[in-house]
Amino acid sequence: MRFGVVLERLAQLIPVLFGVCLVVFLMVTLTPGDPVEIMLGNERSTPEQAEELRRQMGLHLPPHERFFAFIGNAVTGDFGRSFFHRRPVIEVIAERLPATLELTIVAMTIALGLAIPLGILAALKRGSWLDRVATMVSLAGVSMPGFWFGIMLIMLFAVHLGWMPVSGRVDYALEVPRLTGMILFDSLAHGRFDTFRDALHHILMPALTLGLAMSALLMRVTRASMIEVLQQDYILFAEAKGIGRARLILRHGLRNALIPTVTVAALETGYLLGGNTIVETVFGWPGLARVIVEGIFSRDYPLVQAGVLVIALIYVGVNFVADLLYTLINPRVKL
Amino acid sequence: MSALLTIRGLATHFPTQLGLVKAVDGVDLDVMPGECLGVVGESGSGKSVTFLSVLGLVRAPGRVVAGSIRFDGQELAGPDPRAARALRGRAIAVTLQDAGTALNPSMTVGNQILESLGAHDPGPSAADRRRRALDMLRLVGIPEPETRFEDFPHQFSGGMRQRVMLAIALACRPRLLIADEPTSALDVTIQAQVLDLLAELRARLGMTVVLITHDLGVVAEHCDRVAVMYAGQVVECGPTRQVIDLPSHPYTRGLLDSTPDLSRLDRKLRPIEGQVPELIALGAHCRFRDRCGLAEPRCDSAVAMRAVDEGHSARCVRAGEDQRSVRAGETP
Repeated sequence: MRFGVVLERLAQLIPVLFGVCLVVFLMVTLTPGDPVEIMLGNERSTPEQAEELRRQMGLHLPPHERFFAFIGNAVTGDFGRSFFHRRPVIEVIAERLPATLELTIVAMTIALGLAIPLGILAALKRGSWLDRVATMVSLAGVSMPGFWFGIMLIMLFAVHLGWMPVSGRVDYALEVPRLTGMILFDSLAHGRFDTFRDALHHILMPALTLGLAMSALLMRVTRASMIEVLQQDYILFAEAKGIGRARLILRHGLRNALIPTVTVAALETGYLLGGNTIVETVFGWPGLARVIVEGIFSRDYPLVQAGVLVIALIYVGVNFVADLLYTLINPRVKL
Repeated sequence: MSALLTIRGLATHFPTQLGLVKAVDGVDLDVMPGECLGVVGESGSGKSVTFLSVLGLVRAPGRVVAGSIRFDGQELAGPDPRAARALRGRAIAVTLQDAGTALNPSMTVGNQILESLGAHDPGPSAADRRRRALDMLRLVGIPEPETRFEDFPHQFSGGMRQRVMLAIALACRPRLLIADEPTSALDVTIQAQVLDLLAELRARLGMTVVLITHDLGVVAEHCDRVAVMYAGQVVECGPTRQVIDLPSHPYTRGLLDSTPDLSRLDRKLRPIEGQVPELIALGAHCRFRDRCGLAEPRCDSAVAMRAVDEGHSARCVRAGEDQRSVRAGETP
């Protein structure tokens, strides 16, 4: 039964992903610019050479044939070769994905680490100065554009104070052999604490930029949900049982208040895993979003198509996991 | 015999934007050991807030502003909230109106019972607590307690949930159970079952019970004594039989007249005219004056409780002086 539902949900993904493919293909194809011209650049080349290159890349075929060839190959796991990097796009993506994954994990840790305790406190001390400050900070967090906040962080902590590196993931001199591609994890696995510290140093500002923006919404959701839950009869009944205050707030209050928070956190995680173009650009973070933006500039059709498809897959996948998680924390919901 | 619970001059107020709501305003009550006391009144009469005050569970911004609450000689309304907290769940337990909302939806019923035991009476081991929790489920009549132990509240029917709530409340064998409207949320056929269970548990566990209800029929059948509340005060209190046969406050009379009686279908129900007064800006006069058919000049000043008979008193200027004058409100 449970397994059947999972299969059904997976089957529902097929039309979604097909739609994503179609939209991305159309947008890429309709964008002005010719990858062949960009690749050949200013080099002196004959029209024959350009035609030959076009043939190699399959661009001589009419669009609908190219689309079905793309779909056909994608089903077998072949996303084509990057025009620009001259190797399979899947390799390029696999190389960049861990950077985005790492940034997402740290950003969400910061976001949840701030949002949940602050949300609980704001709900418990409703109307107090703490509540007001938290509300104001979260409003600022939602309204502040990431590019601006990121640049301000760089200006202050990297340029003026010199405490933080301006960009990148880790000092080249400290690089460690690749294991998962997530440097924080790999450096620990190799026992290289110097690398770990340096990578942490590098990730802090971009993760903070993303994390603060994410925590704002999460905090407001947690606060609102907690306020509602604390007014429920079961809180009164639990309190009448004479249990301790911490247990009352966490086990009876937070446990039930977290249900909407988990939903929002899942949406945000899916969003972050797609890579944040602005933050990755501002901080020179070599993640998935950056590589797709580069692909757009160089009209690297296969890379952009596969990249967007991967983002869509991740997004849908994360939400699917969130639904499963949901049934765990809310026993009244069955898949 | 000295009372188990003594409430004197209790006042619980809620500041609101419209003004100070005096939800409970000068309540005196005694609960004797072993008895079942019925507390009757309309919504907003202060009956629930009175007993939430006893447990120290009045929600902010409401608070107990005056009075004394003594449980077994110990003061609970003092400045130290720990006094009431220490007794909650252990010596004094409560059940709420609707078990559907009173049980934590994300916790198995077994764990909700274990939590009470763990807080007050951990015993030698987890296995022992589990055995006692299962005993509680069995005691309240849950079939197959071993399998239901791991179920969540939403997997039970309304009547069964009410039983589960009783099992949780009674897990630590409290001396006093405050049952707040135990049957209002239930179907009529289930109501009788739950009340019978309550009576049986009371006898088996030797508990004192305060039964808060708006149903005089329930009081007549199950309570030794009854206190009638109106607009934040006790207006009549006495042995159930006596209060029903000889109501000494016009409000009690009105409640009885508006209660349907299946054995007297020819009798017309007579609702009490008017509305419960706003609990803001109450004057010093008798609170029932404006709805009372027998109001007279004496009702314009504050009215104290007056003895009607042994253990029976009412907050009416006529109480005890001439029973016929109160009864004159009855249709000839």
